[in-house]
Amino acid sequence: MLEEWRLPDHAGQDPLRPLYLAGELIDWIDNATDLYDVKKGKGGRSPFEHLEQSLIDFRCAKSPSYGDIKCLMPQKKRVWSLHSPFLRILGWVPAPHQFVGIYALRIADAHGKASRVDEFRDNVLKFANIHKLDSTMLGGDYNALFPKKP
Amino acid sequence: MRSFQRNHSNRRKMYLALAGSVESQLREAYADRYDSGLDTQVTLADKLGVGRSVVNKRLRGLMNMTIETIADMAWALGYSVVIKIFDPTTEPTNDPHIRSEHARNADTTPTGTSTNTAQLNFTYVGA
Repeated sequence: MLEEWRLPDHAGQDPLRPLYLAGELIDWIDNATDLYDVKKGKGGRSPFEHLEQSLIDFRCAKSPSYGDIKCLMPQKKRVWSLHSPFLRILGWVPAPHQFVGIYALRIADAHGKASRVDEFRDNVLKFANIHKLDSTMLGGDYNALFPKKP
Repeated sequence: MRSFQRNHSNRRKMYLALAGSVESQLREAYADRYDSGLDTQVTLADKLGVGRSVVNKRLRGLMNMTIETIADMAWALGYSVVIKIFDPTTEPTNDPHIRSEHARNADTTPTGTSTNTAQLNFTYVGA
Protein backbone atom coordinates (compact mmCIF):
# COMPACT_ATOMS: atom_id res chain seq x y z
CA MET A 1 0.00 0.00 0.00
CA LEU A 2 2.67 2.52 1.07
CA GLU A 3 6.26 2.20 -0.03
CA GLU A 4 9.32 4.01 1.27
CA TRP A 5 10.71 5.87 -1.72
CA ARG A 6 14.32 4.97 -2.43
CA LEU A 7 16.74 7.67 -3.54
CA PRO A 8 17.98 7.28 -7.10
CA ASP A 9 21.69 6.54 -7.29
CA HIS A 10 22.51 9.95 -8.79
CA ALA A 11 21.14 11.75 -5.70
CA GLY A 12 24.63 12.18 -4.26
CA GLN A 13 23.40 13.17 -0.80
CA ASP A 14 22.61 11.34 2.41
CA PRO A 15 18.91 11.12 3.27
CA LEU A 16 17.76 13.12 6.30
CA ARG A 17 14.10 12.11 6.30
CA PRO A 18 11.90 9.31 4.96
CA LEU A 19 9.31 9.69 2.21
CA TYR A 20 6.47 7.25 1.62
CA LEU A 21 4.47 7.01 -1.59
CA ALA A 22 1.37 4.99 -2.35
CA GLY A 23 2.17 2.04 -4.62
CA GLU A 24 -0.57 3.25 -7.00
CA LEU A 25 1.08 6.67 -7.17
CA ILE A 26 4.42 5.12 -8.12
CA ASP A 27 2.65 3.06 -10.79
CA TRP A 28 0.84 6.16 -12.09
CA ILE A 29 4.10 8.11 -12.38
CA ASP A 30 5.81 5.14 -14.06
CA ASN A 31 3.03 5.03 -16.68
CA ALA A 32 2.50 8.79 -17.28
CA THR A 33 4.62 8.87 -20.43
CA ASP A 34 4.18 12.63 -20.97
CA LEU A 35 6.16 13.25 -17.78
CA TYR A 36 9.26 11.85 -19.49
CA ASP A 37 9.31 14.30 -22.39
CA VAL A 38 12.12 16.85 -21.92
CA LYS A 39 10.32 19.17 -24.35
CA LYS A 40 7.40 19.34 -21.91
CA GLY A 41 9.73 20.29 -19.06
CA LYS A 42 11.88 23.33 -18.35
CA GLY A 43 15.56 24.04 -17.88
CA GLY A 44 16.61 21.00 -19.92
CA ARG A 45 14.79 18.54 -17.68
CA SER A 46 11.56 16.63 -18.06
CA PRO A 47 8.65 16.99 -15.62
CA PHE A 48 9.63 13.57 -14.21
CA GLU A 49 13.23 14.68 -13.65
CA HIS A 50 11.97 17.80 -11.84
CA LEU A 51 9.70 15.64 -9.69
CA GLU A 52 12.58 13.31 -8.88
CA GLN A 53 14.72 16.30 -7.83
CA SER A 54 11.92 17.64 -5.62
CA LEU A 55 11.68 14.26 -3.88
CA ILE A 56 15.46 14.12 -3.49
CA ASP A 57 15.35 17.61 -1.96
CA PHE A 58 12.60 16.54 0.42
CA ARG A 59 14.64 13.57 1.59
CA CYS A 60 18.04 15.28 1.72
CA ALA A 61 17.83 19.07 2.12
CA LYS A 62 18.31 20.79 5.46
CA SER A 63 15.18 22.76 4.60
CA PRO A 64 13.03 20.45 2.45
CA SER A 65 11.66 22.04 -0.72
CA TYR A 66 11.93 25.42 0.89
CA GLY A 67 8.42 26.92 0.90
CA ASP A 68 7.08 24.13 -1.31
CA ILE A 69 5.34 22.00 1.30
CA LYS A 70 2.03 23.46 2.30
CA CYS A 71 -0.97 22.45 4.33
CA LEU A 72 -4.03 22.78 2.09
CA MET A 73 -7.00 24.83 3.17
CA PRO A 74 -8.90 24.23 5.29
CA GLN A 75 -5.95 23.28 7.43
CA LYS A 76 -8.15 21.32 9.83
CA LYS A 77 -8.34 18.57 7.16
CA ARG A 78 -4.56 18.04 7.59
CA VAL A 79 -3.89 17.32 3.92
CA TRP A 80 -0.50 18.53 2.72
CA SER A 81 0.87 19.23 -0.73
CA LEU A 82 4.46 18.80 -1.87
CA HIS A 83 5.05 20.99 -4.93
CA SER A 84 7.36 20.22 -7.80
CA PRO A 85 7.43 22.43 -10.91
CA PHE A 86 4.85 20.36 -12.83
CA LEU A 87 3.11 18.21 -10.22
CA ARG A 88 1.64 18.53 -6.78
CA ILE A 89 1.90 15.42 -4.63
CA LEU A 90 -0.98 15.38 -2.16
CA GLY A 91 -0.81 13.43 1.06
CA TRP A 92 -0.10 14.06 4.70
CA VAL A 93 2.58 14.48 7.33
CA PRO A 94 2.52 11.47 9.70
CA ALA A 95 5.35 12.73 11.91
CA PRO A 96 7.83 15.62 11.90
CA HIS A 97 10.16 15.36 8.90
CA GLN A 98 8.05 12.73 7.13
CA PHE A 99 5.64 12.85 4.21
CA VAL A 100 3.20 10.36 2.76
CA GLY A 101 2.27 11.01 -0.89
CA ILE A 102 -0.99 9.50 -2.17
CA TYR A 103 -2.06 11.29 -5.36
CA ALA A 104 -0.38 13.47 -7.97
CA LEU A 105 -2.13 16.41 -9.56
CA ARG A 106 -0.73 18.11 -12.63
CA ILE A 107 -0.22 21.83 -11.97
CA ALA A 108 -1.73 22.58 -15.38
CA ASP A 109 -4.91 20.75 -14.31
CA ALA A 110 -5.05 22.51 -10.96
CA HIS A 111 -4.28 26.07 -12.04
CA GLY A 112 -7.29 28.26 -11.30
CA LYS A 113 -9.43 25.23 -10.52
CA ALA A 114 -9.84 25.11 -6.76
CA SER A 115 -12.52 22.44 -7.11
CA ARG A 116 -9.98 20.07 -8.72
CA VAL A 117 -7.61 20.53 -5.78
CA ASP A 118 -10.54 20.04 -3.37
CA GLU A 119 -11.46 16.79 -5.15
CA PHE A 120 -7.93 15.41 -4.79
CA ARG A 121 -7.71 16.65 -1.18
CA ASP A 122 -10.91 14.78 -0.36
CA ASN A 123 -9.60 11.68 -2.12
CA VAL A 124 -6.57 11.75 0.16
CA LEU A 125 -8.93 11.87 3.15
CA LYS A 126 -10.90 8.92 1.76
CA PHE A 127 -7.68 6.93 1.26
CA ALA A 128 -6.59 7.63 4.84
CA ASN A 129 -10.04 6.73 6.11
CA ILE A 130 -10.31 3.45 4.19
CA HIS A 131 -6.90 2.33 5.38
CA LYS A 132 -7.52 3.58 8.93
CA LEU A 133 -4.58 5.96 8.75
CA ASP A 134 -6.42 9.20 9.46
CA SER A 135 -5.16 9.23 13.04
CA THR A 136 -1.63 9.58 11.64
CA MET A 137 -2.41 12.86 9.84
CA LEU A 138 -0.76 15.84 11.48
CA GLY A 139 -1.71 19.46 11.09
CA GLY A 140 0.01 22.53 12.39
CA ASP A 141 2.76 24.91 11.58
CA TYR A 142 5.28 24.05 8.84
CA ASN A 143 8.23 25.20 10.96
CA ALA A 144 7.14 22.96 13.83
CA LEU A 145 6.88 19.89 11.59
CA PHE A 146 9.95 20.63 9.47
CA PRO A 147 12.43 22.46 11.68
CA LYS A 148 15.71 23.04 9.92
CA LYS A 149 18.17 20.16 10.27
CA PRO A 150 21.55 21.13 11.74
CA MET B 1 11.57 0.18 -0.48
CA ARG B 2 10.69 1.15 -4.02
CA SER B 3 11.78 3.61 -6.64
CA PHE B 4 10.54 4.61 -10.06
CA GLN B 5 11.18 2.22 -12.92
CA ARG B 6 12.70 4.83 -15.20
CA ASN B 7 16.46 4.40 -15.37
CA HIS B 8 18.61 7.24 -16.62
CA SER B 9 21.70 6.57 -18.69
CA ASN B 10 25.02 7.20 -16.95
CA ARG B 11 25.45 10.27 -19.17
CA ARG B 12 22.06 11.66 -18.07
CA LYS B 13 22.76 10.80 -14.42
CA MET B 14 25.93 12.92 -14.59
CA TYR B 15 23.88 15.93 -15.74
CA LEU B 16 21.03 15.37 -13.27
CA ALA B 17 23.44 14.92 -10.37
CA LEU B 18 25.36 18.09 -11.22
CA ALA B 19 22.27 20.22 -11.92
CA GLY B 20 20.56 18.90 -8.79
CA SER B 21 23.63 19.54 -6.69
CA VAL B 22 23.98 23.13 -7.95
CA GLU B 23 20.33 23.95 -7.31
CA SER B 24 20.18 22.21 -3.94
CA GLN B 25 23.26 24.08 -2.75
CA LEU B 26 21.95 27.41 -4.05
CA ARG B 27 18.61 26.81 -2.30
CA GLU B 28 20.36 25.91 0.97
CA ALA B 29 22.56 28.99 0.69
CA TYR B 30 19.53 31.14 -0.03
CA ALA B 31 17.60 29.58 2.89
CA ASP B 32 20.49 30.38 5.24
CA ARG B 33 20.62 33.98 4.02
CA TYR B 34 16.84 34.38 4.17
CA ASP B 35 16.58 32.87 7.66
CA SER B 36 19.31 35.23 8.84
CA GLY B 37 17.41 38.21 7.43
CA LEU B 38 20.27 38.97 5.05
CA ASP B 39 18.63 38.37 1.67
CA THR B 40 15.34 37.90 -0.09
CA GLN B 41 14.71 37.01 -3.71
CA VAL B 42 14.14 40.74 -4.29
CA THR B 43 17.52 41.76 -2.84
CA LEU B 44 19.26 39.09 -4.92
CA ALA B 45 17.42 40.28 -8.02
CA ASP B 46 18.47 43.87 -7.29
CA LYS B 47 22.13 42.87 -6.89
CA LEU B 48 22.03 40.98 -10.18
CA GLY B 49 19.96 43.49 -12.12
CA VAL B 50 17.26 40.94 -13.00
CA GLY B 51 13.64 40.47 -12.03
CA ARG B 52 12.61 38.52 -8.93
CA SER B 53 10.93 35.87 -11.07
CA VAL B 54 14.27 35.14 -12.74
CA VAL B 55 15.88 34.49 -9.35
CA ASN B 56 12.91 32.34 -8.39
CA LYS B 57 13.25 30.26 -11.57
CA ARG B 58 16.96 29.77 -10.96
CA LEU B 59 16.37 28.60 -7.39
CA ARG B 60 13.59 26.25 -8.51
CA GLY B 61 15.64 24.66 -11.26
CA LEU B 62 13.46 25.98 -14.05
CA MET B 63 16.44 27.32 -15.97
CA ASN B 64 19.46 25.51 -17.37
CA MET B 65 22.01 27.86 -15.81
CA THR B 66 25.26 28.77 -17.50
CA ILE B 67 28.51 28.83 -15.56
CA GLU B 68 28.25 32.63 -15.55
CA THR B 69 24.77 32.47 -14.02
CA ILE B 70 25.88 30.02 -11.32
CA ALA B 71 28.81 32.29 -10.49
CA ASP B 72 26.46 35.30 -10.39
CA MET B 73 24.09 33.56 -7.98
CA ALA B 74 26.94 32.46 -5.70
CA TRP B 75 28.36 36.00 -5.77
CA ALA B 76 25.01 37.58 -4.92
CA LEU B 77 24.66 35.19 -1.97
CA GLY B 78 28.18 35.97 -0.73
CA TYR B 79 29.32 32.44 -1.46
CA SER B 80 32.20 31.01 -3.44
CA VAL B 81 32.16 28.02 -5.82
CA VAL B 82 34.58 25.15 -6.27
CA ILE B 83 34.19 22.77 -9.18
CA LYS B 84 36.10 19.53 -9.15
CA ILE B 85 36.23 17.10 -12.03
CA PHE B 86 37.99 13.92 -11.07
CA ASP B 87 38.48 10.27 -11.85
CA PRO B 88 36.99 8.30 -8.95
CA THR B 89 39.08 5.25 -9.86
CA THR B 90 42.28 7.06 -8.94
CA GLU B 91 41.12 9.63 -6.40
CA PRO B 92 39.48 8.47 -3.16
CA THR B 93 36.50 10.48 -2.03
CA ASN B 94 34.79 10.83 1.32
CA ASP B 95 31.39 11.08 -0.32
CA PRO B 96 29.70 7.72 0.34
CA HIS B 97 27.32 8.21 -2.59
CA ILE B 98 30.12 8.78 -5.05
CA ARG B 99 31.95 5.76 -3.66
CA SER B 100 28.88 3.59 -3.86
CA GLU B 101 27.96 4.88 -7.30
CA HIS B 102 31.44 4.13 -8.50
CA ALA B 103 31.16 0.65 -7.09
CA ARG B 104 27.88 0.18 -8.96
CA ASN B 105 29.36 1.61 -12.15
CA ALA B 106 32.29 -0.76 -11.88
CA ASP B 107 29.78 -3.61 -12.07
CA THR B 108 27.46 -2.20 -14.72
CA THR B 109 29.31 0.28 -16.94
CA PRO B 110 30.22 -1.10 -20.35
CA THR B 111 33.91 -1.07 -21.18
CA GLY B 112 35.04 2.28 -22.51
CA THR B 113 32.22 4.27 -20.88
CA SER B 114 33.47 7.04 -18.64
CA THR B 115 32.58 6.98 -14.95
CA ASN B 116 34.41 10.21 -14.20
CA THR B 117 32.67 12.42 -11.71
CA ALA B 118 31.97 16.13 -11.32
CA GLN B 119 31.37 17.79 -7.97
CA LEU B 120 30.47 21.37 -7.21
CA ASN B 121 30.60 22.94 -3.77
CA PHE B 122 29.55 26.35 -2.50
CA THR B 123 31.35 28.00 0.43
CA TYR B 124 30.21 31.10 2.27
CA VAL B 125 32.77 33.87 1.96
CA GLY B 126 30.98 36.60 3.86
CA ALA B 127 28.70 39.41 2.87
